[in-house]
Order: sequence, then structure tokens, then C-alpha cells
Amino acid sequence: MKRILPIIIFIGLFIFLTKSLYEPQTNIPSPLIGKPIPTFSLSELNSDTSLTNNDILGTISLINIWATWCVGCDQEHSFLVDLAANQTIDIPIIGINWKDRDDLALRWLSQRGDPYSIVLSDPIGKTAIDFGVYGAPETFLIDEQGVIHYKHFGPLNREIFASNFMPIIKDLRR
Amino acid sequence: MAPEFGQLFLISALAASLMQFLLGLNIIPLNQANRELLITRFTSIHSLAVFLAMLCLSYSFLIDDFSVLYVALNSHTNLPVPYKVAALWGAHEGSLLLWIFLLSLWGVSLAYSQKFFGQTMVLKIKSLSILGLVSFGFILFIIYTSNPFERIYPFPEQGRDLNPLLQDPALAVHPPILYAGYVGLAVPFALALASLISIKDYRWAGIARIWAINSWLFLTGGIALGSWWAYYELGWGGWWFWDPVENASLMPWLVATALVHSLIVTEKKQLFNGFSALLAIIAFSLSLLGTFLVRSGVIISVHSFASDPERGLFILMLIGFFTGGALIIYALNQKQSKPLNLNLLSRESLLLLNNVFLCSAAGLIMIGTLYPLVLELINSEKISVGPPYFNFVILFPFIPLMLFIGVAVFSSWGGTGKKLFVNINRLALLSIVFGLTIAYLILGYETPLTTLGIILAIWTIFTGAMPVIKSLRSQTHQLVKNFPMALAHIGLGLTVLGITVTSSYGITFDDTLGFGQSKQVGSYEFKLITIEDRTGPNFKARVATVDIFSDNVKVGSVFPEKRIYDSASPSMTEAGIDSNLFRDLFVALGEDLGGGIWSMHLQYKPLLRLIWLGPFIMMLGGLFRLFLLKPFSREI
Amino acid sequence: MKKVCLILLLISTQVSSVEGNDELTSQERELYQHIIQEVRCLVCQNQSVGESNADLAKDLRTQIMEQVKKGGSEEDIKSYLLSRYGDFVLYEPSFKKSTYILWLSPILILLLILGWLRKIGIIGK
Repeated sequence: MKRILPIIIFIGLFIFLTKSLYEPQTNIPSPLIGKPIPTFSLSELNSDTSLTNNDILGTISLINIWATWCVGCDQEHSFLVDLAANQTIDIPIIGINWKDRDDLALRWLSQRGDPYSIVLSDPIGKTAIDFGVYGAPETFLIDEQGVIHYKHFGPLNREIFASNFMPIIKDLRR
Repeated sequence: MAPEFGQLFLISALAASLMQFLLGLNIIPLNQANRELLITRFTSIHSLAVFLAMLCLSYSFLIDDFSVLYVALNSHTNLPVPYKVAALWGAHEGSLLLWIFLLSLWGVSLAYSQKFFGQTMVLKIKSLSILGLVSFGFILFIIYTSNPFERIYPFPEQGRDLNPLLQDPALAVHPPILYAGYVGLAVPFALALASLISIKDYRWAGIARIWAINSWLFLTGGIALGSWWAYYELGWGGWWFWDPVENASLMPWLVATALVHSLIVTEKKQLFNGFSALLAIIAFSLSLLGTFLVRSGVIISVHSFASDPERGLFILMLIGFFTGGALIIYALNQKQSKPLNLNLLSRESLLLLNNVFLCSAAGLIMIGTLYPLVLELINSEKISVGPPYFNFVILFPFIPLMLFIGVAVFSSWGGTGKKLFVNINRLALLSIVFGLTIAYLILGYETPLTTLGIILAIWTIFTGAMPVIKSLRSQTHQLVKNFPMALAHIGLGLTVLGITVTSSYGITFDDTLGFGQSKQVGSYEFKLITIEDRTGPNFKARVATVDIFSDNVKVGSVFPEKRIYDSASPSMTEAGIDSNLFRDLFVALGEDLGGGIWSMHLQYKPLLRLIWLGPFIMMLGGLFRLFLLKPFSREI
Repeated sequence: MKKVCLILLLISTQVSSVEGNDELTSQERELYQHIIQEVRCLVCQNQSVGESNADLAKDLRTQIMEQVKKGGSEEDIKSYLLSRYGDFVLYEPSFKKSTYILWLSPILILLLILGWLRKIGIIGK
């Protein structure tokens, strides 16, 4: 027994290492899934009006964390513009401009199109931390009550949206 | 042409190592003397071929040949010449070349060893053969997945430069020494297997012990150098992070320490033969595992090379073959051991016990390092296991280990505990008194754990020194016999003392300082005097002058820098450190906040240098053991 | 991401550029230093938030500093981070069902050792 124990342990270790080699690295799962969005109070982009949770709830929507300095946001932007215009899916996109400047954000949007129903400014980043944001872009799917049903880290595109977001949206709308 | 020659030499090495392996099998009919001669020759040829391959790559670096992909990625025309040489092992492909070179050198040292004669000659032949196979596997790996001689076309006009973090003298020594330790463990591995498949007795142990000590020596030095380098290079005064790659070097070190001690028992008392063989197999396997972890991308680490699943798979196959094969040979050939009739307090038993603690420490580190991976695989859950876990868990084996080390020193072979306690009682009392004095009176009470750590460290030092002190009064050769052990144990005690004191009594202060302002850190005052510009060979820097005072007397000045390397825009900190044996004063520049105000990282670290002095003394112990005792080798 | 982190590793400052430690008591300062070493930077994942120079690390340090000043305990601050980022953000794994084996391994190994020593006849005669 003592003689074969080492090889048994080794075989277990070996199998495990082989499997882990081929597992794709996953992103950090969010503990906020199934919970309501954090309370916030942010000003709307380029204005003094301060908005809170109640101002954005009421319908199934996306919350998209973005910034002008973020390369991935640039990549996903045209998809977001298309999505916002899509009458069939009909889902509003709320933008949170993270660690950025209002003037830069406005210029960025005017150059690329504005898919957002509302844009909020989070220059300090405290609200983003409350959302558990660790890199832009990040996109949250919330329902009418503001409960988070899904979070995607990284740029969005048609395929990801169709496979990861649409099923949940359809479910919520039933 | 040089890269093509390099390729040729690599292929020659492949062939030579294959011959080295085949000669160990009895397929070619030769008498033993001729077999031994041939296998020695091929070992040398193999080593020479790898060396020449390295020279070719080095040549490409020195002439700035950016048509070689590896050179283009890791060098630059402005890179100082010494770094162009050291850049050879600065990334994955080249460091593997260093790996196989050092492996081949160890083979040569085994081939020309005078320790084999008569019946043990077969051990030399078989183990060289096994080493040949290991080399063959790795050279194959290099040629197929990690060829440093790959060309790039069209070739860039300028290289990407060596990572600025690596542009430091420590790059010249840390990897070679560390790798020498890693690959050196292949020799006891090969010897153990050679014994299992041929003469099957204990005679491999005395021989293997020499190479085990050698590897252990290099590993100790390599790990200490890495820690020291991280301390002054990375800018926040840390010296150990339980980073997976650091763990990958600590695990083989712990098992190698156990191996060295187990081999003593096997050599002298013909006991624990199976256990020693198993340790030899595990030690080298942990080296291989470390290679896998660093180069496969499976684990997030600051040390990891560019990851590639294909490379990871190849290494995994190598591990499966060598470790799996070795463990199968072990299972098949290991004789059933007779039940031990040992008193718990006999030397054999205590050495075994301490080895078990050492191996448990290695096992716990392995569990902590791999656990996040396991959990992610099984549960899709992502957790982090870091310093808080390891610092806690390592205490469980280490506290009993430190305790029993002192007891083991006074134990006797096959003995009972009767005379033992007479000897150690006084020392125990002395250690406790000494330790309490230091902990309470000199440093000031921190926590019970701190006090325990200090007492145990002193206990280890005293018990290590005692046999030498005793034999000062008696015969010289007794002194010589105990001296290496004394050094090694004293070194360990100093290391633990340094770790305990610096962790418990160190003070860190993050703050902003303007010109002429000062901040109090413990009993020291740090004052920012000025900040100037300076230009280096391939960088520009802003250099601060910080004066340090103690009781209003100036103790020293340090000059932390923020450097910008020409070839890449981000800046790099060089810490300003004032150090002596008793304390380090550490200053790192943060950011320029404007108006002559800078954010700074200030630290007071007592007894920090012991953490590296300790390993140095341990290495001295190993060296003494290897060289001082040759005339007495029969007695040991 | 990895390249960014390697570059950020070079910069390696540990100081919140906004505020220094002046107004903290020495206990608060120790608490702050202690916590920032135990929080993992999610951008440069091989560094703690104390070591990392990533923007997110700076923001998190600022947050932690604010909470320390408000009198938050280590537990409060850690649960603040846990509820937003999950277990990954702390270097000390929480003690729950999926980590029982992890945390109990020292004891388990100790028991195994004792059992084995008894079996081979060294103790328990």
C-alpha cells in the first residue's frame, strides 16, 4: 500500500493539471447577481441634475460602464448604438461614465453616436466600486425593480448578447 | 549563421543525450569498462554541444542580431553589454537553454566522479543513462516548442529591450544559481532510480548525498537571491509574497532538506532506503512541477513566462513520463521494509519525524497554491489564497520542526531518551531566558507568537552551536564533523529570527513629504532634502536625497530614484536603502504631487538582513560538508 | 492586461496620491497598512492593492482609507469589499464549505502523520 500510494496521488494530480490546462480562464464572478443595484447619487453628464436609483428603474435595461480612455469601449460602441436603435429588442442602455471628464465624454459620444438613454458621471469611481467594477467596459442586465440578473465583463458584441443576454431578457419579459 | 549553428548544436546535443541514454540499456553489447567510458564521453559531448548552442545565442545578442526573434524580443542596441549576456536567460526559450545546460553539467560532474567503483559502477552508468533521457526530453521540448534560434522576417531594426525589472546585476546570478539547484536534484533522482533497477540496496545513498547537498546549496542561494532582489527592486520593501512561482522553489527546497537528512540515515544505518528514494523522486518532480507552473499559464504570477497551452502540455507529458515512470519503478522494486524498532527519541526516529514536518510544509504549500485552481475547476468559484493563509498554515509544521531540531541534535543513533534530556534541559532554559529577554526587554512585547518565534530561533541557534562548542574541548575531527551541521542550523535560526522580528516589529509609513519636511517612523526621522535629475546609460532619473536621523543624529542618506527607460515610457522605482545588520531603513518614491511634494513609502525593518545572512550561513554549512570532510568520508 | 501590469509593476508606488497618513492614529495607520496588503488588486492580479499602481488600486486604497478614518473595523471593510467583488478580492480565503479542506489541511495532515507514525511502530508501544 505504501508503495502505490505515491503513484495514486500523482495520477490524481496529473489528471487535475491536465484538465486545468484546457479550462479557459474565467472572469471574476460578481456577487451582485440576484441583488438590487447599489444606491447611488450621480449627476447626469454635463449637467447639475443629480439622479438616484428611482430615476432609472421601471423597465428592463442595461447598465454599461464605459470611458473614453477605454479601448474595449471603443470596440463595442458601434454594437451598442445598433442595439439602442433596435426596436424589436427595445432595451434602453444606461451609461455610467467612469473616471472620466464630462467634456471628453461628450466629444467622444458626438463622434461615435450616443446609444444611451441616460448618461451618469462617476468621476471619482465610488459608485463603480459599489457595482464591483474592476475594468471597463462592463455591462449589467437589470429588471424593473433594479435587480441584477447578469453581468458581462469586456466588450459586448452581437454573439455574446444573443447567447448570454437574450435568453434572460426573454425570460424576464414573460 | 550563428543561429543556424546553434540549431545544429542543439540537434547534436539531442543525439548525444540519446546515445547517453541508450548506452545505459544493455542493448549494445559492451563490457562495463567500455560502457562506462563511452557513456562518460557522450555525457561530455552532450554538455559541450549545449554550451556551444548557448554561445551561438549569446553571440547573436552581442551583435544585436534582431533577425533572431528571441533577441529582438529581449534586447536593444542600448542595452549594456553585461545585460545582453544575461538576457540569454531573461525569457522562456533562453532560460530553458540554461536549464538543459546546467543539467548537462551536473551529468558531467557525475560522469567524472571518483566515488564509483566495483559494484557501484553500474549505478553511475544507469544514472547517467537516466539523466540522458531527461535531457533528451527537454531538448526535444526546446526544439519543438520553444526554439530560441527562430528567425523573424522581416526583422525589426530595434529590439523590444529587456524588461527593465530584469536590468539588474541580480539577473546575472539569481536564475543560474536557482536553476543549478532545480536541475541538480535530477542527480539524486537518477541515482535512486538506478539503484532501484540494479543493485537495489543502500549504497546509492552516500553518493547521492553529495549531489543532494550540492543542489540544496544552490537552491538555498537561489531562493535567498530572489528574495533579496525582490526586496530592493520592486519598491515596496516586501521580500516574500507566497507567489506561486516562489512556492514552486520553496517546495523542492523543503523536500531537498528532508532528502539530505534522510540520506544520512540511509548511508549510516541502512534504514529508510525506500523513503530516501521516494524523497529523491519527489524533490526532482517538484522541480519539474515548478517548471510547469511557470511556463504553462495555468497560474497567475508575476514570474510566469508567456504562457502557451502547447508548451504546458509538453511539460506535463514530460512530468507524467518521468515522475510517473519513476513512481512505477519505485512501486515495483521497493522491497517490503521491515517494521521499525525505534525509540521515538532515537536519532533515526527524530530525523524521520523532522523530515515528515518538512514534507508536510511542502504539502501544505502545494495545497494552498493549487487550491484556487481546483475550486475553479470543480465549482467555477474563484478564490484567492495568499499570504494570510500561508503565513498561518506554515506555522503548523514549522513550530514542531524547530522544536525537534534542537532535540535531534543531541540524540544518538539507536538511542533512547535517557541521556537526551540531561543535555538539553539547560539549553532549553537558556534559550527561553534569552528569548524572553530579547522579546520583552530589548524589543518590547508584541504577541505570544512573536515571543515563541524568537525563543525557537534562539533554541535552534544554541542547539546548533553546542556540539561544536563541546568538541572545541576535545578532538579536532569531532569539531570538523559537527561544524557543517552547526552552520546550517545556526543559519536556519538566524533566518527565522529575522523573519519573526521584522514581521512583528517593522513599521511602514505611507506619506507625503515636501522639501525640508520630515516624518517620524519609529525612532527614526526621515527628511526629504531635495530631488534632482540624473542620466544613466539607458535611462533618465529623478533622484531624491533623504536624510535619516536617530535622536537628532544623522544616521545616513539614501537616494531613491524614479527612472524612465528610453525604450519604454513608464517609470521605475529604485528604492533608497540604508542597511546594516540590525535594521534596514527603506525609502521608495511615489508620485510627484507638484509644489515640491512627493508621496513616499517609508519603512523601518529590524533584523531584515538576517533573512539573507541565514541562508548564506546555511550554504557555508553545505560547502563545509562537501569539502572539509573528504578524508573522513568513511566515517560519516 | 498582463503587459499593462508588468509596466505598472515598474511604477510600484504604494501611496494614495490624494492623502497622506497624517491624520491617522497609529492604530488606524496599522489597520490601513494591514488591510491594503490583504486585498488583491483585480487589475494586476499578482499584486496586493497596497503594492499596485493601477487606477483601481488607488481608488480602492482611497476607499479603504476613508473607511478606516470613519472608524471601520477590519471586518467591516473586508465585508464591504466582499459584497462588491466576491471572495477573489481577499487574499485570505473565507471559511466556508468550499474551503473547509483548505483551512483544515494542517490539522488533517497532523492527524495523518500521527496515524502513520503509530502504524510504523515509532509511537504508541
